[in-house]
Amino acid sequence: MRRLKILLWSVAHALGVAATLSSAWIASAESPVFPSVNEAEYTYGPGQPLYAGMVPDKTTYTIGTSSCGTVSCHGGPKSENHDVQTFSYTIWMNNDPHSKAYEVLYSPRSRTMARQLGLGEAHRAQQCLACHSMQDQSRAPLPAEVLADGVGCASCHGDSANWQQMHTQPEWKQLSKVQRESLGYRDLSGTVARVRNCLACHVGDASHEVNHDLIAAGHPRLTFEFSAYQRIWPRHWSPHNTLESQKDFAERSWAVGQAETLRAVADLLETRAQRASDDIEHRALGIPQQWPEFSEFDCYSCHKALGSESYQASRDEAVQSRRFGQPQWQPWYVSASQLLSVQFDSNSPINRRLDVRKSVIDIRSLLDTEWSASDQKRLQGIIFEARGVSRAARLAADEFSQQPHIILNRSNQPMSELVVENPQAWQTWDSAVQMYLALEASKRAGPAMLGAWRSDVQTEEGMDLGQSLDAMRASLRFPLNMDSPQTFQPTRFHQERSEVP
Amino acid sequence: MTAGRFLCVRGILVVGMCAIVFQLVSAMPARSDEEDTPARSSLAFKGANLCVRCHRSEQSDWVDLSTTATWRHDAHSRSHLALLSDNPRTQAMEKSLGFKAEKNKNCVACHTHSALEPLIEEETSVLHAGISCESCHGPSEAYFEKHMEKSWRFLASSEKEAFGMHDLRDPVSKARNCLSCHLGDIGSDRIITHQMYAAGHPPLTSFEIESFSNAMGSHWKRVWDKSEKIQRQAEAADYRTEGACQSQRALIGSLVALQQSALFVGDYATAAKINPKENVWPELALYDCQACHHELQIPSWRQKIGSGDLRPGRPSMVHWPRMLSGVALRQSGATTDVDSLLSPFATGLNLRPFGSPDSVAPTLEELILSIATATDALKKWNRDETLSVRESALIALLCEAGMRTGDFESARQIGWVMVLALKSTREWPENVRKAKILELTKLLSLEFPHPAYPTLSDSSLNGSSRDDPFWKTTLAVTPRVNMARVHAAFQMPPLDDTLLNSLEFLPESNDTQKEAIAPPLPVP
Repeated sequence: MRRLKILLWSVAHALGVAATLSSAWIASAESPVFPSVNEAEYTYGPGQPLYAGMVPDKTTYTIGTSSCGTVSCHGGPKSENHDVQTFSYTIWMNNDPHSKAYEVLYSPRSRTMARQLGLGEAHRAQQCLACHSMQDQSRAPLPAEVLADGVGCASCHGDSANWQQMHTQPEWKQLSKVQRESLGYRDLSGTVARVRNCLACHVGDASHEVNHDLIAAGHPRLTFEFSAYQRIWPRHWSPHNTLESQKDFAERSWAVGQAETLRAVADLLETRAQRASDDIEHRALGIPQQWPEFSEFDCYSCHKALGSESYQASRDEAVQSRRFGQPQWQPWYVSASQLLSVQFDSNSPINRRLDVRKSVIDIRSLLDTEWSASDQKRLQGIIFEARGVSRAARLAADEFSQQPHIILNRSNQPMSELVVENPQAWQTWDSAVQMYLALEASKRAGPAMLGAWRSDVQTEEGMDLGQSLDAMRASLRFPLNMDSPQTFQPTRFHQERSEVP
Repeated sequence: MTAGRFLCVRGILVVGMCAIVFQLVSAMPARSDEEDTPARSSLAFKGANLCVRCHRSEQSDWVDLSTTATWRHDAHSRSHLALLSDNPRTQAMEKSLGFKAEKNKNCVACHTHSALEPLIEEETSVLHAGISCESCHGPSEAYFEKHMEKSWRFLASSEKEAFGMHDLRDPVSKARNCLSCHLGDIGSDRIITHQMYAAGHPPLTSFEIESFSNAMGSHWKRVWDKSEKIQRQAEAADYRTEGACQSQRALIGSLVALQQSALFVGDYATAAKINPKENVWPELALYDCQACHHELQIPSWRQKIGSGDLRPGRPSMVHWPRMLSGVALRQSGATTDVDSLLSPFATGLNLRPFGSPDSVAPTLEELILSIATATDALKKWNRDETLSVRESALIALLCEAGMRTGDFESARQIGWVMVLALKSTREWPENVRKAKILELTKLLSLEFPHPAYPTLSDSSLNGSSRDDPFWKTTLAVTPRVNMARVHAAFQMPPLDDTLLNSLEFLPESNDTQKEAIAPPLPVP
C-alpha cells in the first residue's frame, strides 16, 4: 500500500514537473528578445506597458512565489557570505508572518469568524483574501497555489507576470525606475513608497477593510506604526544602499510613517463617510449601513468593563474629555500629529506647521462631539475635513521624505515638554503607546532626535532611558489573557513618562 | 441631622399645612394610556405625610400599619437626597452636565414623583419625600377619603384603579410600576441618558422583581400571613390575593422587563422622529451597557457564543431580560421564543449600528400580545402541593439558560430566580440546595446590602463592602466575573443518592444558610 502511494506520488510529481517545464518553455518561447533600452523609443505611462504585445493578460495570469524562490535566485540558504537578496525568499518563508497570511484563514478562529459574518469559508471569501492573499476584487480568481502564498513577493513588489523574465537578465539593471514601474514592478526604494505599500492592508482602503463587524467577530484590531513594524519585521533585503543605510533612517521612517499613515486613515474615513452619504441618497429609508463605523474610534473608550476604575467620577479631572460619553476619533493615528507638526520649522516658507494639527483638530471637533450623527450635512462636513487632513498629511510626508536630512527637534522643544503640555496626548492607551514608540524611535536615532535622549543621562534612581522605556512598556502591556488595557492608568503613565531622562 | 434630612422633614411639614395640587404624569407606561380612565391623568398627589398619619401605628389585623417604619428604612424614602447639591457625586455630575438635578425632568421623574417641567420649579414636600407611597400606589386625590371606608378593602382592583389606586397585586402591573424607573420609560421622561451615565450616574443593574422586593423589605402582608378571621373574610368576599407563587412572579417580571425594553427603544424612536433635536438619535442608553462596556479577552467566549440574530459588533438592546424571559416563555408553554419576538429589532439593528428611528420602531402588537398570553398562563401557577416538583422543572430550565448566558447581568437575574426556586423545592436534599445557593450568591454577588441603600454620601469608590450600595458592589464585581465559572455554577447535581451522600457539608458561616429553606406548604 505504502509503495503504491509513493509510486502515485512520484508519478503525480513527475507530471507536475513536466507541466511546469513545458509551460516555462512555452513562456520563454513567446518572450521576445530584449530590445536595447532606450527610454525615448518607448511610450509608457500608467496602464501602458513598455513592451506592448509581450504582456500576458494581468487578470488571468499571476506568478506565485515559487518562481521567485528557486535556490539559485532568491531561495538560497541563509549565509553571512552571500547577499541577502539570494535568500530573501528563505527569510520570508521561514521568519516572515506574511507567508502564513493565507494559512491563518483555515484556523478555528477564522472559521468561527467567517461563520458569524456569513462569509462562508474564510479562505474563499473575497473580503478575507484581499489582504490575506493577492486576490484583487477586480481580477479573476487566482489559482490555489498562488492564493496559498499569502502575502508573497508580488504583493509588495508588484505582479511579476510582466517583468519576471526580464529581471533575471542583465538588462534589468539598466532599466530606469519609471520603466520598471511601467511593467508592474513596484519600486520600494523611497520611504513614502515603502510606507504606502503597507497601508492598503495595515490601515485599509475601499477594497481592503477591517471594520468593527470583522473585529467583533474575532479579527485583531489594526495598529500600524511604520517604524516599529520595520524594526520587528524580518528584513529580507540588504541594509546597504537602501533606506536603512541613511543616517537619519530612524527619524525619517518615524516621521514619514506617521504622516503617510495619517493620510491613509483620513482617506479611509472619507471613503466610509462617502459611502454613508451615498447610502442616504440611494438606499431604502435612507439608512447608512455602516455608519457610525466603530473602528474609526478609540476601542477602549467603550471596551472597558464598568468598574470602579472606569467610573467617570473617580477619574482624574485632567483626563476627562470635553464631552461625556463620546469616544475619540482614532487616537492611535492622530496622537503623533501634534508632535509631527512642531517638527516643521515655523520660519520655513512652506509653513505647514499648523496644517496637520489644525486639520486634525477640525475633524475631531466634528467627530468627537456627535460621532454618530448621520445627516447629509454633517457627513459632507466630515468628508471635507477628511480631505483636508489627507492633503496636509500627504504634504507633510513628502516634505519629510524630500528633506536632505531630518532632525526632528528643529523647534528645539524637547519631546518631554510637549507631552507634559499636552495631556490629550497621553490620556488614552493608544496615544500612550504612540508616545512610547516615538521615544523608542528616538532612542535608536540617538542624540539628534527630539532633543530628549542622551544615553549618558540617568535619573535619580539610576535608570537610563533603556530601563525607563522598559518600565513604560511594562505598564502598557495588557494583563494576561486580556486584549484590552484593563489596568492602564493614564495618570500613572504620565508620572512614569516624566521620569524618562 | 444632615442638611438633606432637614430639607426632607421641613418639606413634609410644609405639605402638611397646605396640600398642593399636582398634575399627574402617569406612573404607568405610556402604552397603557388607552386603558386608563381619563380622570386618572389629572389626579393630584397629596403627599406622604398624610398617609403616614395612619400607616405607622402598631400592626393591626387587616392592614400592616408598620408600613411607614419599613418604608423609612427603605432606600426609596431617601432617593431624592441624591438630587441635592450637597452630595459630592451630584455636584460633579451637575458640573459636567450643566444643569441642576432638582430642576431636570429626567432626574426628578425617578428620584421623586414624576412631575412635569413647570411643576419642578415649585419646591414642595412632595418632591422631598423620595419615592413615597403615591409614587407606586398612585396619586391619592380621589381615593384618599374613600380608602378609609371599610367597604374599600373588598373592592376589586379594577374598581380601585378607577379611583387612581394602582393595582400592585397584579404581578404584571407591579412589575411595570417598578421597571418604569429600574429600566426606563420614555412616556414618563424616565430615562438616564448616556451622557448622564458618563458624567457619573451609577449603572442600572439587571432587575429581578421578587428578590428586589424582598431586599426592599415588604411593607405589606399577604392574605395568608394575616389572621384566620381576615382570611375567612377575604374568602367570603372573593378577595383576590396574589396569585402566582414567587418564582412565577419573578418570571412574569422578566417578561414585563422584556416588553419594557422593547417599548423603551420603540418609544424613543418615535419621539426621535417627532422631535429629533431634543431626542437625539442614537441614544446609547437604550442599548445594553455590556454590549460595548466589557474588557476584551483572549479567547473570547463572546465570540464563541456569537451574537444570535445580530451581526457581530452591533450593540444589542438591553440584554438582561432576554435570558430569563426565554425560560418564562417556555414555562408558560408559549410556542414562540424571545429571538423571534424581537426579530424586528434585530433586523433594524443589522441594517445600521444602533438602527435608525425608522427601522427600530416596528409594530409591537405581536410582542405585547404574546407576552400577555404568557403572563396570563404564568399567573395560574399557584402555591399548591405540586409546587416543589414544578420548581424542580423550573430549575432545570434555569440551569440550561444560565449555562448559555453571555453576560453577567443576565446570569445574575437567572441566579436570583434560581435561589427562589431552590428555596421552595424539596427535590434535592437541603444541604445540596444550601450549597448551591451559597455558591451562586457568592459568585454572582446576589446579596443585597442591609439596608439596601445605607448612605448616599460615599467618599471612596474603590473596594466594596457588604454595606455599600448595591450599584457599588456591582461595579466592583462586574469586571472580575469569570463567565466560565458562572456557567459551571449553573449545574445542578443529578438526583442520585450516592452522589448526594458524597457531597460535603459546607460550614455554617453565611447568613444565607440561616434563612428558611422550603417552608412548609401553606394550607390551600
